[in-house]
Amino acid sequence: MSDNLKNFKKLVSNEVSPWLQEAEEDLANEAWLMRSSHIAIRILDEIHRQKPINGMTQKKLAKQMDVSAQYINKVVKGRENLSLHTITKIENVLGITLIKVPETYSSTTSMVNIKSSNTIISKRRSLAKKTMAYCGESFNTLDKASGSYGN
Amino acid sequence: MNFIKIFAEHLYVIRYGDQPDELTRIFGNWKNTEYLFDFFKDEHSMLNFFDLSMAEAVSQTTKEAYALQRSIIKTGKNNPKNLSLLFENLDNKEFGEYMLSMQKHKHRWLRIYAIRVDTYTFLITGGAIKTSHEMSEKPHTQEELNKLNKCKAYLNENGVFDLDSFKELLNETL
Repeated sequence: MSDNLKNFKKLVSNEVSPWLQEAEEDLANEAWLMRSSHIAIRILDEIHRQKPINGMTQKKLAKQMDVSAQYINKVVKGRENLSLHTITKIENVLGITLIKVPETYSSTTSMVNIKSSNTIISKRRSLAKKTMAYCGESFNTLDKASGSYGN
Repeated sequence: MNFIKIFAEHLYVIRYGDQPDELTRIFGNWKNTEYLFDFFKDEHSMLNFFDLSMAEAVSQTTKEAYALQRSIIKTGKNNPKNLSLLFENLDNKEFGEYMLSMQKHKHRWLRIYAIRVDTYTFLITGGAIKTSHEMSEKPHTQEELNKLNKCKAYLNENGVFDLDSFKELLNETL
């Protein structure tokens, strides 16, 4: 071990960061966490839009839903496992749709989904290139260690 | 400042006083939808450049945060030494010469800043959502630069230097 590393280790405490455990829990729950985040974005966006029109705020939303302001504050952080009942109440107060389940499945629906996916992929690649240009970086693949895409 | 372990022997992080350690703190922010919404409210030029709404920027950043988290876990668990491959040197134009190599692990806008103490040993000092070319252009990234510098000074005072990284920086400036 180098002197550098020896000196560094003298400065390290015995404490362990809680980050890894929390991150692994997130990994196990990522699918619904992402959905909760999308719902929170939609709620915040709608409150932002309605505020100049009818004075909508998180507090007002909470009052009309008959829940605490603290609960709404948790919801908009995007990490709540929301019940269908809560989602429906939010939808009714804000006049928006947060989740929609297709009633039927057909081959036409799947063709539309494939076309939508290709458009989304194309837009994301374009966005990635713009990100690199904005941050003054070149467009290279990265991350040999984990095999993921990015720079 | 306290240095605490994430992946023992290879990845460490700073904790300031009684606050959460820097990695826990920054990911806590990046996965907090309301925090991101408030952040992007003041980033009009960035949103205009990318032709993004606030909602789209928040969504994009959230996805990046979870992907970045996955990337660190996967790499750290498979072979912690490979964490070194996730970091690269900050551009010299961002801040000049330093004895220790300031490294960054990035996934589009999100940046994690670290000091490379040894070949396979990194100390995370902080992180930020990078919305400008250079760190000094915005207060929140300038603060990260200040943290890097303070940490470097503290390490130097305690006999921690990185000659290999110094050489890399010299090569880049010639």
